[in-house]
Amino acid sequence: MYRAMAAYVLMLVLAGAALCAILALGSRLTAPNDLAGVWVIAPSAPGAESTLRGSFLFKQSGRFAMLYLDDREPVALTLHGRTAGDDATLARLYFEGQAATLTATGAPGGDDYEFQLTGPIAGLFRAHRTWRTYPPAPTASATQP
Amino acid sequence: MPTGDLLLVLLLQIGLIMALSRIMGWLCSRLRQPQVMGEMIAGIMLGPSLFGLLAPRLWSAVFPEASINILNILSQVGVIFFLFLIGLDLDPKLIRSRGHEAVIISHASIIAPFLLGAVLVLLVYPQLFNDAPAMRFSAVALFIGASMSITAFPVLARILTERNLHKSKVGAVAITCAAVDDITAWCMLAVVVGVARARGVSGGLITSLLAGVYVAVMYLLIRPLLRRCQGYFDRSGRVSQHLLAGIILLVLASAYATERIGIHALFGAFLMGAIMPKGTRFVRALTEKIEDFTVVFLLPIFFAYTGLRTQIGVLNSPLLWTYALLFIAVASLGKLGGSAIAARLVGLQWREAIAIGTLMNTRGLMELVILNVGLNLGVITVAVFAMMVIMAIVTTALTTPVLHWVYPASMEWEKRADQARVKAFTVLVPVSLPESAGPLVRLAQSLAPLSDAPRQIIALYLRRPSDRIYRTDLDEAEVPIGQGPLASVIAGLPVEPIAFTSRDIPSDIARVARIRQADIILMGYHKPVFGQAILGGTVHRVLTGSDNDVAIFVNRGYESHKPILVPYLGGKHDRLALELAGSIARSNSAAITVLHVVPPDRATADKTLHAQSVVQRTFADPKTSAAVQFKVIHDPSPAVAVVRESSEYGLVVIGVEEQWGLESQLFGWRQQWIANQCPVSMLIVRKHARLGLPPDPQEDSAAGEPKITSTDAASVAPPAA
Repeated sequence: MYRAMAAYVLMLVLAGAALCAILALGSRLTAPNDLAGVWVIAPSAPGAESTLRGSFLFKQSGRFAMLYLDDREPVALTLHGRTAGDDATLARLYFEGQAATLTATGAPGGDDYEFQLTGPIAGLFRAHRTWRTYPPAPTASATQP
Repeated sequence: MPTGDLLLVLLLQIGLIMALSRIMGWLCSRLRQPQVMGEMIAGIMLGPSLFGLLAPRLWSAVFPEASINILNILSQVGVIFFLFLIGLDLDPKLIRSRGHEAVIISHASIIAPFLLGAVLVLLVYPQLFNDAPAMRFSAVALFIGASMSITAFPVLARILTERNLHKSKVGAVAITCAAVDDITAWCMLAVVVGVARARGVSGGLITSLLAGVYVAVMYLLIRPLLRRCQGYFDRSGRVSQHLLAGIILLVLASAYATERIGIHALFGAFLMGAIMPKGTRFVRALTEKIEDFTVVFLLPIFFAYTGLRTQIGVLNSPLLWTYALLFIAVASLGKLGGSAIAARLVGLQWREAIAIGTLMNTRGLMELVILNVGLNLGVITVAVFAMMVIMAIVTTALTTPVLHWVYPASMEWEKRADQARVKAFTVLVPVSLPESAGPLVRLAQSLAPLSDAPRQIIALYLRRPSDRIYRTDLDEAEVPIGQGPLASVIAGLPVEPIAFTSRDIPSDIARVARIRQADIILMGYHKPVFGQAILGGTVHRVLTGSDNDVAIFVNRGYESHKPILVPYLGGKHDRLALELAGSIARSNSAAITVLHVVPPDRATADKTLHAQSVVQRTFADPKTSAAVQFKVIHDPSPAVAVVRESSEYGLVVIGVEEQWGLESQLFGWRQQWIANQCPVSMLIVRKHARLGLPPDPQEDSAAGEPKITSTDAASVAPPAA
C-alpha cells in the first residue's frame, strides 16, 4: 500500500517535472508568422506591377498554406524560409508551391503586408488583412470562409 | 439573406442533417460500431470534405455562409445541454467503489497521452502552428495534451454494455477510469481555456480565484438548492414545467458564469450536472425530459457544424498526412499504452490490460467537443483540427474490432461458465415476458431424463439495447431477473438467472446455450396464433442456428396432470419428442399416448412395427417408465388427424418433421397449420445432431420388454380431405 502510494506520488512528480521541461523547451520554439485570414488588395499605385484586385483568402496552418484568389484554382504553398526584411522590424517569408511562389514582407503579427506572386498568377501588391482566422472574433463564431 | 429565406434554408439544413445522421448511425450500428460514429461521419459528409467537394455550388446553396452562424449557436447550445447530461450521468459512487487501482490506471491514462501529446507539439509546433496570439506554445501543448487524454465515457459504457462486459473486471475498471478521466478532462479544459485566454499572470490569477469562488458557490449554495428541487419532485412525483424551467435556468446561469470567468461555458454545464443528487428518480426523469431533444435534434447539428469546419482538403500533401498518422499513433500509444501498462502494473493480465487500454482509447464525441473549443479559441490550426477529427474517428472506430480481437466477449462467458459449470441436465430458458416465465420454468423442471437426475435451469433474459446512445444505461443493463417482475416466478426454484443486452438475440441465445453446454433450449411463444408464423422470427433463427436441441412451448392453458399426445412418424425429431414427453409425463404422473398416423395407401406392417419398437425401446428402462399407449390411425392427412385427436390431451409434444408440416419453410402459414390449429398446448421440438440418441431399435433387436398397450385405430374414419 505504502509502495503503491509512493509510486503514485512519484508518477505525479515526474509528470509535473516532465511537463515543466517540455514547456521550457517549447518556449524557445517559434511558429511561422501568421498570415491566415482575408486580405484586401490595396489599389495599385501608378506604375505598380500588379493588376490584381479585390481580396484573397490565405489559409495557413504553420508552414502549409492555401491561397484562394477570386474564382481561380487555389494555390498550395509551403513555407521554405524566413529572413529579416530590409527594415529589421520586418520579416520576409518565402512560400513555394508546384508552379508558384509567394513572398510576403511585413511586420510579424501585423495586418499590412507586401506580397509578390510568381507563376500563373503574378504580381506585386500590398494588402491589408481584414479578418484573422486565429483567433476568431471574441464571439467565437469561427466560421471559416 | 432575408429572414424568411434564412428560415427555409435552416429548415432544409436541419432536415438533411437529422436524416443523414440517423441513416449513418443506423448503418454504423449494423456494422457493430457505436451509433455516434455514424453521426460523426455524417457531419463530415455534409461538410466541404465531401458534399462541398462533390457539388460545390449545391453545397454553397444548402449551407450559405449567412446560415452557418445559426448552426453554430444551435450546436453550442446543444453541447452545453449535452455536457449537462454527461454530468448528470456521472455517478461518484462508481469512482468511490473501485479503490486505488482504478485511480492509478485512470491517472496514468491521462498523464501518458498528455505528456506524449505535449512532446508531439515540441516536434510539430514550428511546422503546423502559426505565430498567432492564442497559439503560444504553452497553450498549444496543454491543449493538445488535454485533447489526447479524452475518453468518451458514454461511448465506452455503451460498448461495454453491448458486449456484456460492464460487470466484468475489465469493464468495471474501464468505466471507473473513464469517469475519472471525464472529470479530469473537463477540469483540464477549464485550465487550458484559462491559460489561452489569460492576459498576463494577474489575469490568470483572477481567473483561478473566480473559478474557485464559482466552484464553492456551486457546492455550498446550488447543491442544497438542487436537493430541495429533488424533494419537490419526490412530493409531486413529476418534473413540472416550472421545475424544468428552473433547472434549465440554473444550467444556463452556470454556463454563463464560467464563460464570463474565462473557463468556458461547457465546464459550467458539466459541473451543474455533476453536482446533482445522484441515483434518484429525479435525475432519471430530468434526463429523459432534456435528453431526447438534445440528442435527436441539437447534437446532430453539432456534428454537422463540426463537419462544416473540418476541411480534410487542407491536408493536401503526403507530409501532412504523415503528421495526421503521427497524431493517431501518439494518441493511441499514449492512451492505450499508458492505460495498459498501468493496468498491468496493478496486477491485471496483459490481455485484460490491453482491453482496458483499447477501451480508454475511445474518444468519440468528447474529442469533437474539445477540438471545437480549441478551434474557437484559436489554439489549433485548421489542419491540426482536421487531423485531430480524423484521429477521433479512427480511434473510436478501432475500439470495437480491436477489443473483439484482444478480448472477445466469449472469453468472459467462458470464464463465468467455468465457474458455474456443473454436471447436470441443463435447460436454457430464454425469457422475454415475465408472465411466460412461470410456465416455462415449471416445464423446464420436468424435462430432465431421470426424475432424480441433477438438473440446472438457466433463465436467460435478453433485452435489446435502448436507443439512448449517449447515456451509459448501466442501471438498465442490470439483471432484472431475480430482482424485477420475474423475482416471484423464479423464487425458490433452482434457476440461474443471466441477463444482458443483446443486439442479436437469437445468436446470443445460441451462444449462451453452446457455452453453457445446455442440453436443450426451451422457448416460449407469445404472439397471437392467427396470422403469425409460430416458428418464425426469433424462434426460427434459434431453431435453425442453434447447435442444441430446441423446444418451443406454445402455451394454451397447459395443465400438467392431463395426458400427453406424441404424434410419431419415426424421424429423429419425433424421437426427441418421445424422450421429452416421457420426462414430462414422469414428472407429472401423466399418461402418454403415442399417435402413429399411417396414410391408408402407404400402410405397411413394417413401418408400424418399427415405430412401435422405437417407442418400446424409449420407454424400456424401468427408471424411465411411464404409462404409454401406442395408438395407430390410418388417415390420409397426418396433420389433420393429430389436430382432431389432440383435443382430449393437455399437451402435444411433436417433432418438426416434414410430414407434420413443420420442417420446411418455417415462415409459411400452410406449413404451420398443425401448430395454429391444435387446440391444446404444444411443445414443438427439434433435434440437433450433437447429442446422442438411443441406438436404432432395428439395429438392436434386444429391446427391453415393452410396457405399452397397443391400440389399432384403423377403424377411425379418415376425415374428408
